[in-house]
Amino acid sequence: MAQLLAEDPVSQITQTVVQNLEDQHDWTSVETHHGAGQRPLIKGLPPRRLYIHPDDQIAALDHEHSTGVRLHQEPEFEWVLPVHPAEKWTLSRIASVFDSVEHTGERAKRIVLGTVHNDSTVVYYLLHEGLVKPRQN
Amino acid sequence: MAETSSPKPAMASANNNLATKRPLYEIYALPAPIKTFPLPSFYPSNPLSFIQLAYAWVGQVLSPPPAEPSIIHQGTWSAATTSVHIKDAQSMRALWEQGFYGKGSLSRSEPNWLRREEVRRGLQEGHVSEIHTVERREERIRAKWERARLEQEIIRQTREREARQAEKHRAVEDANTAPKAHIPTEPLAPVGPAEILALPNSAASNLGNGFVKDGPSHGESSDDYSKTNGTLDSSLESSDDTSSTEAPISTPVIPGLHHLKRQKSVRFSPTVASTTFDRTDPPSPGHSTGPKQNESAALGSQAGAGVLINKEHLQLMPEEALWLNFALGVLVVKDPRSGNPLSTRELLNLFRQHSVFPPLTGPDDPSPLPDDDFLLHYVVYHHFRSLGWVPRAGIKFGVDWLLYNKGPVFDHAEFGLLVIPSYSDPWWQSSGKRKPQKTWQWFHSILRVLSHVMKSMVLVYVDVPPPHKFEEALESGLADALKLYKVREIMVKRWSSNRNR
Repeated sequence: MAQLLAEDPVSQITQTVVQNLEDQHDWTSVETHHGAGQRPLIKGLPPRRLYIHPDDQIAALDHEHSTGVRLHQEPEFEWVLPVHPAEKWTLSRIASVFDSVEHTGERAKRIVLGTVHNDSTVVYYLLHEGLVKPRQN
Repeated sequence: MAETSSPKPAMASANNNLATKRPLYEIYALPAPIKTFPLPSFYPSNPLSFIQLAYAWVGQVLSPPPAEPSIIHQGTWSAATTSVHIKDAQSMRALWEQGFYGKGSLSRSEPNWLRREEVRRGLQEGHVSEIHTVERREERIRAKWERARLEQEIIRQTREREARQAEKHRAVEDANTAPKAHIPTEPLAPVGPAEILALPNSAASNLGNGFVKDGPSHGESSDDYSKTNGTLDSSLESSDDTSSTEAPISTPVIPGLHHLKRQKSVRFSPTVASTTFDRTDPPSPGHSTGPKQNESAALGSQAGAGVLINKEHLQLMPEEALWLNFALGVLVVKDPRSGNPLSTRELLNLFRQHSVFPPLTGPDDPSPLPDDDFLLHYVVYHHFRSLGWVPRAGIKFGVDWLLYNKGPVFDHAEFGLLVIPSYSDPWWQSSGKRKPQKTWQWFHSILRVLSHVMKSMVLVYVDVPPPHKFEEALESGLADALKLYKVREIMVKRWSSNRNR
């Protein structure tokens, strides 16, 4: 079984992304979640907050203005979906990945797409479920 | 031209004396991992140059140098990453410095993860581009936070001022109810001919003193119009407000964001500028400084105890590996299981099988056609490498290859290449093969991404030979098979009628 898993191309790119997150991007508590019949997902803690919603930013600035205390933007656990550029992805498959994300309270609002190229570059993109207010660049 | 070689002591020491800064042209003196010893030129006008030429020639004839390539690098095929890994430190440096082959698996391009870790743990002084990038990004995050803060501040002040004005209006209303009872608080849509004539674009406004002429029936409503345009009529302002409106517009200079231009000039009180912002104050104090500060203590103790192991390898793309193995002959790729070196044909088959996901390695899987992804990309890679360009992977910009003139340390990539197969042979037409259908949106989005980073888009069409001709030529050698491919380039540039005159 272990041999079979190691040979599986999807778990191979998953392993590549785990290494990249830990060693190049300094993520901590990185672990891989294998759901039954689902794409493996990586859960990890980035060194800093990846995404702040514009409304949250305004609230944080208001708080900073009224109290003079700057809110601490704690990093949050993120879910990473490792993919290969030659794969064909559809909206329904991405939706099923969102469905498969483990959650206790509210369901995950975003996942990080990690595309592994064979020159060892991993390109990361944030995927949000539904429409999200755009941020100022 | 005679080719000779000599051992390369410079490469071995390249990693050690990084502290003594060497100029780039010295580090990257060789454009390819082979050495050439050209004979000196002969100038008919200078007879002495003939003696020099003859001396060099005789010297090379009498003591012929050993055959090139003198150093053959060892790599290992890795099916998991579909690439060839180079683990030897000297080979990693040599392949990077002599032609920019491969990428450090944990770095942006140059393999310097070990140095980055050493600098971060305080074991070494130096400049590492990855650390520099992190610092620049942090400064950008801080600058954006500061910009958002200032914008919120401006919005808050505008609201306060509007609230004050509304109160004042109400007070004036209460004081003299009868004469000015009809002042509207909201700007009304102009309906009468006089009001329409009073609109800024009309002829009346050109004749008038201001750009808004007071409509006779609307009274102060014109002030509301002008306010929406950003100019405040100070006649309505009381004394406590004039100080803020007459203060010079102080555009806040945010470090790192000075190129982000403000859309409108909005006046705000000088007290905003006086609420000083410490540049070193990050949006998230505990984390944005990252491992440099947080982990340095922990890492330092670690480093004192043990030796830092280099987790990084140089990763060669299949195209680079085949070029180094087949075209230059400076690389031997070993099978990871048996440890035996793979022949060029074996490598070619392996790379072609792994050019799809999941790879077609099973015994029942169809054998790849001459238009498989690996061959198409290799043909383009071989073409541009032969012409002296440095092609590197372009996935970050959504293209197949980025084309560097000399190499990534010297300049930015000038071109982004998109590889498109062209089935011009009649065999393909009779077999019903169609070229890949790409949408206009795909094309346009890549073009705009590339133009944003000042690169030109090049469509590279590869004429694919029919399978029977290809297999026949492959029997006599890969070089013959590659000759059947043709490469055509078309450069695409967006033409904007306003800018390109």
